[in-house]
Amino acid sequence: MDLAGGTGSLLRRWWHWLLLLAGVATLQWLFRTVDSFPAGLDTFFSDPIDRFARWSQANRRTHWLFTTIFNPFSDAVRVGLNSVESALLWVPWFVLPIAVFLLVARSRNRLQAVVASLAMAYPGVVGLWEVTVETLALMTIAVLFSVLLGVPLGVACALHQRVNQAMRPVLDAMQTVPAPVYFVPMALFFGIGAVPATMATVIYALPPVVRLTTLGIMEVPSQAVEASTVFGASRRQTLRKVQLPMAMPTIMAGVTQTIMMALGIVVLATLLGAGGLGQEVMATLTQRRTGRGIATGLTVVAIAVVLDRVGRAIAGMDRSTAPGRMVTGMAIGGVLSLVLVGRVVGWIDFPEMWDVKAFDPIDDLMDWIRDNLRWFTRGMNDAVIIWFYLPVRDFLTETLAWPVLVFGTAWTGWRVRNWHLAVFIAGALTFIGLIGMWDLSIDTLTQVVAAVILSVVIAIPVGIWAGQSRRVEAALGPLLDAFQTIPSLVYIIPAVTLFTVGVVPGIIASVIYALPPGVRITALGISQVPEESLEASEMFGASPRQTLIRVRLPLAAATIMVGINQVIMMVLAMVIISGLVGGGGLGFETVSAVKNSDVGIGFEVGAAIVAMAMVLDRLTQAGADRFRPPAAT
Amino acid sequence: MVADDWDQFPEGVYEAMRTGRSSRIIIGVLVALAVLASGCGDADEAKPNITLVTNPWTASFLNVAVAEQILENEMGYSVEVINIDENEAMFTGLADGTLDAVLEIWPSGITVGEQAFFDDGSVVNIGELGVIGKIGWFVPRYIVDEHPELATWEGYRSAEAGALFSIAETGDKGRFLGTDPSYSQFDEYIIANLNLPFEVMYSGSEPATVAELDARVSAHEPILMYWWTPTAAVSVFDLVNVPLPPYTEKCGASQAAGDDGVDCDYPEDVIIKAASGKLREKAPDVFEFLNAFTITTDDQLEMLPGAEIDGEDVADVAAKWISAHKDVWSAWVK
Repeated sequence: MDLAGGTGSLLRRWWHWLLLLAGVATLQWLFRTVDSFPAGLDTFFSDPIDRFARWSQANRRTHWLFTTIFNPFSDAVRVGLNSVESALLWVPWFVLPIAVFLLVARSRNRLQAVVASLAMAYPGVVGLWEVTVETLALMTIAVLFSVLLGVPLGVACALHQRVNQAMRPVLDAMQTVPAPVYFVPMALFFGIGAVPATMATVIYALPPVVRLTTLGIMEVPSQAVEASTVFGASRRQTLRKVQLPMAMPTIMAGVTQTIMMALGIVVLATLLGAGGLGQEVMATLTQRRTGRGIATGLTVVAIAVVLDRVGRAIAGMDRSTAPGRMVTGMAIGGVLSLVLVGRVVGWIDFPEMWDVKAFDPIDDLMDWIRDNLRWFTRGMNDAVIIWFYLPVRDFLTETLAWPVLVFGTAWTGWRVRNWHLAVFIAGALTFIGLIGMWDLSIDTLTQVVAAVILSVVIAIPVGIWAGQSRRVEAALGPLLDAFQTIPSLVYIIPAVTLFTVGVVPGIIASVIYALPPGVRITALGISQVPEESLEASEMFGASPRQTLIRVRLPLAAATIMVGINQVIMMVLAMVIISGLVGGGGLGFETVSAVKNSDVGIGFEVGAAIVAMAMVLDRLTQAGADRFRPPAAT
Repeated sequence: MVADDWDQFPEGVYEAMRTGRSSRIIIGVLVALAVLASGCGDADEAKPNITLVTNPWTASFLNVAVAEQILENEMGYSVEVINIDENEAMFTGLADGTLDAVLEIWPSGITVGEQAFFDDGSVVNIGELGVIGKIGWFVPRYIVDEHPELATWEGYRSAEAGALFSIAETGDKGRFLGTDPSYSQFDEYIIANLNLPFEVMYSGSEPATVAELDARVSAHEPILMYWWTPTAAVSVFDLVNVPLPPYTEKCGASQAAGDDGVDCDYPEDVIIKAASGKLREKAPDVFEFLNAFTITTDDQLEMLPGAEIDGEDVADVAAKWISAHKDVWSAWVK
């Protein structure tokens, strides 16, 4: 510390804080009478888009753009969806669980095989097989498209530096876009139903497969490529015979992530009229059948379990443990003969064994909770609204002049990274204001901040705990998986009964959805702290507590910041869900735009969410970089 | 434990891929299955698939389930049911033939843009469903019992009325609970034009509205909300309609245009059915059937409690109605 410095050096040290203070004071004074953001571009985007929407609706049956491109394409997708659906329904019911068991059992993990096969049987057992098949068909086609588009794109990125440079910001942006933002434009081109839902899923789920394909190919040792070239292989041959096969495990990891992302959106796709499980969830909840809603939601979890276990089994197979060709052949033959037998005997549909009605007792439990915990949940609800939500929202929209917020955020960007980021932030926020989304965005931002604070307060301690104990981490695993895959509508509607319509149920759903990455990444950061640092700390006589605070946490800080970044992104992805339970803000506006086919507004809301997501993403990433310890020398 | 499996190199797969042996096996299997599939196809190949629309409320599920089962079991069609919101996209779907028919359209909700589809014949009105619907403002009966002045809209002008229905978000004002944004709602205009100390908050979806209603009624608390008849919820939660100023033509014009002049009650809706302009050609007997198809308010009230309160499957409830009313529907099937 420079204690000897005079006013000059103090000024040098503090001038950026003074700049912030001066800027805030001046702007607040200058704009004290200006109420809200002048929405100069209010209809700049929405008008032409609405015109285009009207035009496309009027010309859908006549214009070549539709008759030769979109309509045939959407017919083809529909045929694909229907064929997958009828193929799955054609297979006798007992074949798939058996096939899943055999596939997973190949990797010599009997327990996982049993789990996967039970999960495969679950949708049929509760009588939801036909509905599940609709969702599975949508996912199959969507993932197929994602792979067909994503792998070549990923390869192009890996082989051509320029493509990579062009694609990277696009992929970055795509990963910050909450899924429903894609719904409105898809409805414009493909109308409503399963087709636009499929296409929205494709775009949403694309980034991981592109990214991991690029990564996989780049990771192929250069010696392997050189050797192949030396032996006279063409570039094409090298790619097909050396690079792609060697990158396959990484590509498969990308495909699995893509599948999981697709699974995350299929329930929401009911907003586009996609049918399937999403529709079923909505219908049961409208009838106040919480138990059946949970039963339906668990179907999605079951599918996730099956796909995850099968994916791992395929990718994790190695020759030493894989069964011989004979056994494999017999297994395939066995499954085929089962199909034949089933078809011939006519034992095809799931026998009615059980039903979602088995979950009805949960409804009574819900009523009991409603009647007995009301004093607590209502109190909490009102406290959050009166002491946090209303004051913060009103302070940001009414007390603070909007230029102050733009300036302050840009200043933060400048401090954590550089003036490029500051300019970007100022631009993005001004854009939100100009298109007339300022107040709605602030409303949503307030809710996002509340959800992020709550998630972080829970996730970091739990993550620290899990990072220090393998057993805790293993025990938390399935719970976190369930949090991430169970459709949030299933628990958010009961949350409305407990907390009432408003912003709180949405905040709760966001926290539940955002916890898993927060906990996992924190645990990762803590457990990655090098053993030597810990030993050194113990040698100097530090207590475990001191070791945690002085060594583990600082060394894990950068990773934890990445976790916070992920938490923010997850919370933003839930904005639309809160719109379905009275959260207002951008979420309600999105729901309204999708449901009323208000394309222009839908575009503006989407743009506002994306701008907000990018600002928060860049800010927290820059923050994470600042925590990164200097590379060891 | 399993996470690091990704790092292992699944050589077996690639070897098989390279040699192409297993892919040949797989293709052979697929061909065999396809042959089998075509052999086992159903006999009704000649009849086109029929796509019916449900909108996201129970009555609509029931009407469609009745039509679906009769079409499938008595007329040999295979029917697909798609659930979408009542909006222009639905009309676009009907117009281009993606959707064949919708059995429950509330005329008060038809926008100018949607009317255009009827005008150019791409969507055809196929008559009344037989149900008279009424959207309006509803409160639980205990509110009217305890505060008799709240039986009509005049009672809602006082500051006390606002305070009674207030919640944390609305401060001194009362909360009016709006619903799914795809339903036609004029409550913001009505409240502004009648100068009521209320503020509209939207639940965002029907499940959320029902959950909130459940929460308030179970605690015997005030709630004022957008709802409609016929629904089972009116009897389950014992709701009463609060009459607003009577419907006038000028106000009706504002409702149709969706402008801010609305200051009267929602009209009674004579619910109609609509079909794709292409259906008559695609399947004339289905067109005739849907044309004749009628479900009355009483029929709906007979079916709704089973589906909404007892939680029976919509399909089962519809099947019960079908078996009890053969005399009614056999006239529709020719």
